[in-house]
Amino acid sequence: MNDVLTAPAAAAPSDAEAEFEALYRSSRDDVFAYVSGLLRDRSAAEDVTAAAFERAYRRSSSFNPSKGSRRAWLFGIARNAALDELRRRKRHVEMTSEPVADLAPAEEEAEVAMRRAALRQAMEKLSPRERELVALKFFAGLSTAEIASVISIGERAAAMRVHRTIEKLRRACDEAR
Amino acid sequence: MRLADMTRPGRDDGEIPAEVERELEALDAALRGEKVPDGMESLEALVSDLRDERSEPEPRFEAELDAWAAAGFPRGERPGARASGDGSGAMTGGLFSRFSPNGPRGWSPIAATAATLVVIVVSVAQLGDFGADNDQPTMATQAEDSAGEAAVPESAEGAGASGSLAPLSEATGDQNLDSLQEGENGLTKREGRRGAAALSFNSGNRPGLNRGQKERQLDREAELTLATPADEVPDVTNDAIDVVEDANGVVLNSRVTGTEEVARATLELQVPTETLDDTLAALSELADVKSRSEDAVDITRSFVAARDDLRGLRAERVSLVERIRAATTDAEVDALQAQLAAVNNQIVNAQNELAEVETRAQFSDVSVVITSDGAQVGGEEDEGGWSFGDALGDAGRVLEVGAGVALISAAVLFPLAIIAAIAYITVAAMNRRARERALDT
Repeated sequence: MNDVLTAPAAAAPSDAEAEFEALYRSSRDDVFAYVSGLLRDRSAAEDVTAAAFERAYRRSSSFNPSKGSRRAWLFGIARNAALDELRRRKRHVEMTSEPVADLAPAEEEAEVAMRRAALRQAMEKLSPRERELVALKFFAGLSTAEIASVISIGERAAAMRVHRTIEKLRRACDEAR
Repeated sequence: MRLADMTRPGRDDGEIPAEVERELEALDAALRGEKVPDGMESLEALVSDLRDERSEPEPRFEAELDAWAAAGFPRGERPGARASGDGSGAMTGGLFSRFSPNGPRGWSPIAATAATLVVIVVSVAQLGDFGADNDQPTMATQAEDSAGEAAVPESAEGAGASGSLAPLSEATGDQNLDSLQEGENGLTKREGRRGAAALSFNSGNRPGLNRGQKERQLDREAELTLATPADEVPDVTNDAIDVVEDANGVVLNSRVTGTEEVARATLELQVPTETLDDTLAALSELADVKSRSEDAVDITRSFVAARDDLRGLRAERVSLVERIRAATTDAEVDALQAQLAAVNNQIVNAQNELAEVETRAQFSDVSVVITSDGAQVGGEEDEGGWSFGDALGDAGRVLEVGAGVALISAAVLFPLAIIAAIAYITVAAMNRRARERALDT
């Protein structure tokens, strides 16, 4: 991911381009992980990730620092793109969800394998909103404040929702074991 | 999350419970790979397991996305598993997608073009009136209006004081209707030309009141007010007198008063009616016309009556003469001669009366006022070149028109902007709700 946004340009990139490049570098994999966790479809996640960065690039001037971090702004765009994809999917054929991750290696320890299997079962029990919170927190690594900004709620509400989701996930994991 | 939740972000804002805050801090520490506080090891394991579930992009997609980003995200070249294979792409779908945040950006050129067209159409439609209104201050136009008013005579013999040409029709019968209408057109026609020349009535049409009807007699009057600088009032007055004399008219009275700054001349004229229009046209060219009015009164009935009276008296006179010649006695002759003398007196009176009516028909009274009041300063410069004053005037005019266009544009765009804003907010809210509903299953 070196010089991703400066390759074709003979002149030095502007501050805005440099900022966006930094954002792209630091967020590319996180955006994909979040979108993939939300959609549970790697192919769709690739499209949505690309669309999200394209939208963000073209609308970089619309970023308002007073409304949150640049990273939260980017995830807001990615979220909208992902939700659009979910809606489109609802209107058309319901696609079969792909596994979020590959199966654990055969040599994985039994305890870990059981734990991860239980976790996947527990994840299945979460609602889409709860899965989104997990994706934002654990896959994308957003702070509570950033999550609040992305899903347009207050920070305390976001904290409580994350807390409740974790509790639910824990209980589901315990039940699955 | 419901829309109500989104619109009430502060509903559960406030202090985060300490227990929750500690848990979130431990969570963040675990995500950073740091040690979590004692008693929260299970959380560390959960984070580790969840992080293991995180999907990573394939190297192929990473390379494609990086290359696309390096190229500046060119349109139509978006990477992705489905974007390259499926022409429809993953991000197209449904009506609401058209209203997605990218949508309005796509609309903006169309909306801007439509709004511009609306503004242009309305402005052009309005500027016709606007420009016409602002052309009014010219003296010529004011005179034109006055000329239009000339179509309404203030008095009409035998037709009532309300005047206008309609009473003439009443006075002379329907046979005059066509010619009256023709005359009305000639009097009120506004040719839209600027300057005094535009005020010259069409001499071919104007006297049409009597065309095709030789016995019809009109008593016409005209008033003309000319404006010229004070120092030119005497010269213009002399020129007016020359014009009248050339037309075989008579100057009944002339008076010039004033100073170097203010001057005024009044002329009472009698102009042959058959040359009245040409004379008025010639007078109008001497200076700026401030006002012009004309009255036309039908005196045919008076003329015919006076003529018939005279004919009757002459016939009676002939009869009396013959009877005198045939008289056989002195007494009879004396009596007839007394009657003849009386008839002769009546004939003289009738002749005078007829002559008076004919004079009223043959000559029109014209009152001309030449005044410096309202005259354009530097009028001679206006005729020749373009002065600084003209430049200021033109600049003011440009600003005036510009302000008018801006005002019209604002009047058009403001409601459109409100409608567009309401539509945008509504669509955005609908789109937001629709997106959130995608997570409700």
